[in-house]
Formats: sequence, C-alpha cells, structure tokens
Amino acid sequence: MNDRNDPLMERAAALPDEINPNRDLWPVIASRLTPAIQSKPSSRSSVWPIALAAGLALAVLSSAITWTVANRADVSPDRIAAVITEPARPYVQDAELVQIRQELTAALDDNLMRLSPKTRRKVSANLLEIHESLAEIRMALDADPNNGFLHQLLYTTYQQELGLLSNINRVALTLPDEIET
Amino acid sequence: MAAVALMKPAHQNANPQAALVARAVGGDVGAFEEIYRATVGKIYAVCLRMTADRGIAEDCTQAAFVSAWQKLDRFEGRSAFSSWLHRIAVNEVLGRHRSEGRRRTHLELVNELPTGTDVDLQSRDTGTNMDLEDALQTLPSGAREIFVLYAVYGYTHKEIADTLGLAVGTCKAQVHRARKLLRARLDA
Repeated sequence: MNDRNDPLMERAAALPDEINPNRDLWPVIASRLTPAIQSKPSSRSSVWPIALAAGLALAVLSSAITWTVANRADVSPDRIAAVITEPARPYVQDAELVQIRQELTAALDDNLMRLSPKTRRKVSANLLEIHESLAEIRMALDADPNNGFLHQLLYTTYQQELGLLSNINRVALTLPDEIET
Repeated sequence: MAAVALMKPAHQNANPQAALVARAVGGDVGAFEEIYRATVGKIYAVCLRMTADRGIAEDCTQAAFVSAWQKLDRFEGRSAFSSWLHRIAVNEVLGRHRSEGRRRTHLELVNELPTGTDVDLQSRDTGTNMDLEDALQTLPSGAREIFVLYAVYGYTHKEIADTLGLAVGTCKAQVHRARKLLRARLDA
C-alpha cells in the first residue's frame, strides 16, 4: 500500500501552504543584499532617468560633488557620519529600517577608521553618492509629495544605503582590533 | 527603451512572477521585495514546520532570501521559481542544523518525549489542521524534518536521503516512526 494514501498523510499534504511571520522580515533581508547589489547593475540605474528628471537642477552640482569626492585623497569620516545621520523620516515610515540605520550610523565613524585608506575612500565615495541620490529624491518629493514612484525609489535607495552600512559594519568587525592607517 | 520596459507594471506582463524574477536578476531590489512579499508565507511555513521555533524560522527565512538573491544569476528557470526558493529554504534549515552538529544526534534520539513548541498558528483555519500542526511540533527534530518534507511537501525518500546524506531506509524508518508518534498524539 502506498503510504501517501494513509489518512494521516493526506491530512499532512492538505495543510495550508502559507504561514505568515508575525513581523516584517524584509528590512533585515534588504540590509544584507549589498554584495549582490554591488556586483549587479543597480535598479537605481534602471529608473535613474526619472529621478534625474525630477532633480535636474541638482544634477550638475551633484556630479561635481561626486567627482570631488571620488578624486579626493581621503574622505573625512566625520563628513560621512554627518550626512548619513540626516533622518530618514518623515518620508520613510518603516520603523525597523530607521532603527537599524541609526544603529549602523552610530558605529560608522569607528568602522570606517578600521578600514584601509583605499577601502575607506571607496566606500565613503559610495556612501556620499547614495546620500546625494537620496537628497535629490527627497527634493523631488518635496515638490511632488504624492508621487508613489518617488516614494518607492526613495525607499529602495535607503535600503541600498542600509545594505552598504551593514556591509561596512560586517567587514569592520572581522578586522583585527588595531586600527589600520 | 530597456528602462521603460523594466518599469512596466508587473500586471501588464504575461507572467508577472517571471517578469519580477527577470528584474531581480538585473539587480532590482524593488522587484525582489515584491517576490519576497508574494512568497514569504510559503517559505516561512516550511522553515517553521521544520524547526518548530519561530525565531529560528525567521532567521532561516531571512537567510534563504539573502541566499536566493546572491544566487539569482544561477536560476535557470528549469523549475518554478517558488520551487527553487523552497529548496534554498530547506537547505538553510538543514545547513543550520549541520553547522550546529546536532543532526546526527537528533536522528539517533527519536523518542516519545515531546519537544518544546513555539508555533505561530495564525494562518491555520481549521481545528483539524491545528491539531496536526501542533502534533508535528512535538516530534523529535530529525523525524519532524523528514516527515514534513515527505508528507507535507511531497519530497520522495530518495530526494530526502540525497539532501540529508542519509540512506533511503533511514528516511523510511523516520517517516514510519513519525506516523506512529503522530497517531498516538492525535488519538490521545
């Protein structure tokens, strides 16, 4: 006899497909997606034309800042922390994302100083670029606060920022205690 | 042109999930979040049934989605995406047990004593199902994992044996024992 015909087995096979967790697991997942994001074309780039259109007046300034950052010998961690600590609210209401972001930002300066100068320069430039994108999207939202696409874009960009912060934190924790110079 | 196509609402595509997967493979976190929203219930369910621990099930669910994201470029579409994701989740649960060095002990210590339960019952809609779900959580972990894969999710003994690195006979014995334990508990 095929044991799958057993009434108990039939009951087991008929159990509900889905059980939903009590809390949203996505923010933590999103914070861990950075390595893949870095190795793939960014979603931000695929929708970037719209954000650029919305923030056209800032584009030249933004590019200039990005060029300056990318070509600077080093970037002050103080500046990184200062720009990152700008609150995600009121646009982002995801409390867990906001909390994780605050925690990672609090450790950012120390974590950055643990990295080699070359790595620090690279991730600092990436962080500033993300921040500049956030600033542009937020300005666009100021002008068009009900634009759902911009809200989604902002949220996704915050998730990318969170992923990078998380990655910095993870890498820093794996390094020896002595600070690299 | 590509950007316009990618921004096309999912409901306008013939196969919304395939379109989402394609966008996610391209690095679209938003598309991956949509996939998460659509599938998390199924993934969490298998993790919870296999672990009988809500916290561990949440960890495994999160790890499964992160792993899926990292492996997206290896998804070849030969099976349904949900099946591929399901396998990743199962491997996360089993990998966690292997790393803790508990698997062999659990398989050898199948006994009649119930284990601790920490089960989220919110989506159970019938008394019968709730009884069986509760009984499943009382099984020893080794027997529970194998029974869940075999009876709830339709794996074959060979698939389970290959996945766990066990003999087919061992899987059959665990299923047999799980059925005996479940009957005893459901009849009690």
